[in-house]
Amino acid sequence: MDRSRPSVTRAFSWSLPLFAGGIFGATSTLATVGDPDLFWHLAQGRQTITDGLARVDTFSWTVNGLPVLTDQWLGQVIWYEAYAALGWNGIIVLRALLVAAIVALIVAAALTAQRRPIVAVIAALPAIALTRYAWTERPQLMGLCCFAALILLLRLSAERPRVLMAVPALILVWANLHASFALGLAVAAIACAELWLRRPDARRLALGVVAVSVAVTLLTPSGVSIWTSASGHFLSPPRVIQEEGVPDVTQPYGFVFAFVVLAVLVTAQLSRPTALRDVALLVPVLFVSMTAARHTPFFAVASAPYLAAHGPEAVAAIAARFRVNVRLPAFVPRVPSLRIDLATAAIALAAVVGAGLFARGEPNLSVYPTGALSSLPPGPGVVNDYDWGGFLIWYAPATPVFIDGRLFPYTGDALRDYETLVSLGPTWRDVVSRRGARALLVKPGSPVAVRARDLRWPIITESASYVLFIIPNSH
Amino acid sequence: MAAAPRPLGAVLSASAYPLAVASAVFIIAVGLPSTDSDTYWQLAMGRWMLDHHEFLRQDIFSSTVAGAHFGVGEWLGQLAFAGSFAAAGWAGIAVLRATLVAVAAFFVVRLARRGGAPWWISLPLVIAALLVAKITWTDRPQLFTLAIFPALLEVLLSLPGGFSRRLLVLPPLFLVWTNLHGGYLLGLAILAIFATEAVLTKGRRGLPLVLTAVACVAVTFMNPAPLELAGAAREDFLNPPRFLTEFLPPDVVTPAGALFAAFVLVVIGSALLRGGSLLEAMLLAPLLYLAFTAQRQMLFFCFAATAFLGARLSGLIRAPRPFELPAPVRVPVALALVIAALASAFSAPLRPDERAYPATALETLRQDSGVLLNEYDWGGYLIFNLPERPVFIDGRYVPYLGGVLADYRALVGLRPGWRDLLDKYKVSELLLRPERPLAVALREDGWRVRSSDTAGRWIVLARP
Repeated sequence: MDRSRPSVTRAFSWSLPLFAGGIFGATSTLATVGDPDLFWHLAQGRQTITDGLARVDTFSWTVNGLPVLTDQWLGQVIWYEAYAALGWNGIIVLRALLVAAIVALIVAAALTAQRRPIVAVIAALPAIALTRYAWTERPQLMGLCCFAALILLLRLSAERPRVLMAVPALILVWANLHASFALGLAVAAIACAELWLRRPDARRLALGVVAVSVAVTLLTPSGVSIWTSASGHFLSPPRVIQEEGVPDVTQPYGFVFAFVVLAVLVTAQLSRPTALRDVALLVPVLFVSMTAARHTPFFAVASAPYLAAHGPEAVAAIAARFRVNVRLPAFVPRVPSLRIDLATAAIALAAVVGAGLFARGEPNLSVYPTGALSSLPPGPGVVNDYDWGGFLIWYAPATPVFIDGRLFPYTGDALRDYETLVSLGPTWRDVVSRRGARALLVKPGSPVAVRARDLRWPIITESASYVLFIIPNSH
Repeated sequence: MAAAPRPLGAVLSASAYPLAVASAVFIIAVGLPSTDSDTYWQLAMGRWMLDHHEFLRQDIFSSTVAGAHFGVGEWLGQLAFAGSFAAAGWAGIAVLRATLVAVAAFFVVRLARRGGAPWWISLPLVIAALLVAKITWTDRPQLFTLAIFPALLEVLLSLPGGFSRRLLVLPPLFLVWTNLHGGYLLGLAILAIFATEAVLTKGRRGLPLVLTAVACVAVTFMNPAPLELAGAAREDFLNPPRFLTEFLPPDVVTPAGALFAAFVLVVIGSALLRGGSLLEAMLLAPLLYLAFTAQRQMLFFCFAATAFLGARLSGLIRAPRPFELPAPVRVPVALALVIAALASAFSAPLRPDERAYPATALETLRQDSGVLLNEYDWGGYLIFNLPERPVFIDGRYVPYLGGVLADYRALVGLRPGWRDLLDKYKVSELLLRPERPLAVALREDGWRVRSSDTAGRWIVLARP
């Protein structure tokens, strides 16, 4: 057996995806840590490891003892383990590895549809650009990585349906990482339905993949209620949260999203018709992406292979109309050998991990009330700004929060009372007394802070970004 | 050789379906009471111009920007509404609205029928497009754009290559449109797209359309304030005021947003399966981007999409036995609906729906004369119903961009410096929603409650 020429017969190489992943992964380490939700995810991860999975709240004084979601337990544990191993640099390294994986998977999926590397990379760039807005230190980044992996699996399954057998395993992991698994399951089910129609000989496989995938979603600590979080986000997105807001094309991420949608629209108009499986994948994912800002990367990731395959045709059609001679690179380079793939993987991994280890590890806390930590009264009674809840859970564990980024445990009375308080609703004083609030840690520009200053409530500490009041006559 | 004119029967038969739908839409639209807050200040401006026989070029309604220059670009639209009101009161407004919506429906049906789409494909498209447009069925000059836009598309899509007499319709259309509503700018953009496509695909035979487009651009300067309208449109496009519902991005969990999303998905899905054309790409891509910017722009994409979807869906979905009403039935049905629509005009509501406004506060407010701080949404209502009390702010929006809007938001939101602003504007009385932080704070500070709504919708507070 001639071992010196395996590359000649290889149809696909991971070198370019790994190279791209390495570059973007290493670049992502330039961003400091500081997502508001990171801190409560870390706290929950630590709690799961030390005390076991908590099914009721222990961090707040408003919903203490009430049920909390456990749908991201594995993601939280992994993030915490990264922190436990390498401190804040561990968080940066893990984030960079996930970014590298996402980019590599996007480029790989594009390469399955387009063998010209430059074209594939160009087609993948909008998706990579849009995922940039999701490069946060949270389990949702893992969910995005799973989605990119699913898209690659579905691309590969077009020729080899048995690849779909990997989907249930992916869904099993995904369901324990993040609630976005529901989208993955829906997409996989649609792909299997298309396979059922197209390939009668693969019907048993298609049915089996869907059945097992649905079944494994129940293999989580949440059981059936794992679907609560997913459906809650999808059917009734909390628009008050910026990332749950409607995609806005006047924002940079929204502009990129619109660009991707328009690119697909124009490409569809001007290139040859595509297969039903592409339509069945792109149309539902587009709908999901239109529901909330945080969902926009899904469509970009899903459409990268389509744009890679059909984009050049559309560009050529437009150029022909304008009588412009556009010569897209026609060569198909020789597929590198497995050894080169492995070497590229090693270099990319070293670059990502190395960059992560040497990056500035300390989180950027400039937007948090760090100066107020030493002045916070211990025990319940502090009303805090929503954005700072996670920060306080991590940095001031002796002071339970009024509210934090977990949101869903607070839906109902606690959230309503919070909104009444910070927006100075007519019954704000009733809320203060009924809740037994003792202190107020809010942004100086919020109506309640302005009012508290009017009323000359004692200020314990303040800065340009926060103010801590003691509420008079409180116990 | 000129085509022989079609006999009346053939014309009626061909127009029966659009006429029937337009009549049905008229019947629905004429029964709706007026609700929009901007209707009031549009009527007030139109009424002033009718009374004084001159353009209203400066603000006379507010205490904050009184005397400031104000654009009069939509003067003809305001006159049309004021004239309808003068002729038949609120019923006249309803009839004008229903007429314009019916005109839009008529042309949308014709667009959806292009390529021979059967009724069972085109009708759902038309209904969906009109439902998306429903949020703009407000009694404002933008209704003229609602009607003219599909008509323009219909004309442009039916143009043959080279010169056509239909081209002569366009300059007068733009002359009127440019004085009715700022939406003519979108019309110019659409015209430019068609002209570009004509040159690209038809070469020299596209030149008549290019020349017509140039003429259309020229006539749009026959407006008292052409650049001001363009400036306002630019501001709406680049920096849409998100605190107004109609300027929020499309939300697919709302009914109109879901329908819009359905249009987007069907357009893209069907194009993926069947492909499209350069014209469709050039037309729909910018309209889709425009739709993404604000809910009020969704309808343009949907209207334009119907022109292509009808034919494409007909190719994708084949009915075993297509059913069409025969002409002898179609025409009488359409005529009956037209007669019913004409009759329904007599059932137009005689009063607007004022439930969203502080109607019962007017008497209290008339008894004072100081500076009134009012809710943004109620400014137009006060301009029309309480002209003796200048408003702090109202839905005209643009005049207030110089700082008054920011001050208003800082005031009612109780932002730092609110007391200074209260003194700066010498506010002596306010009419706000009771849940506004400012209203809560001032009540606690001892401002007198002069009047309040039993349902908790408004409160009038006066300095102690």
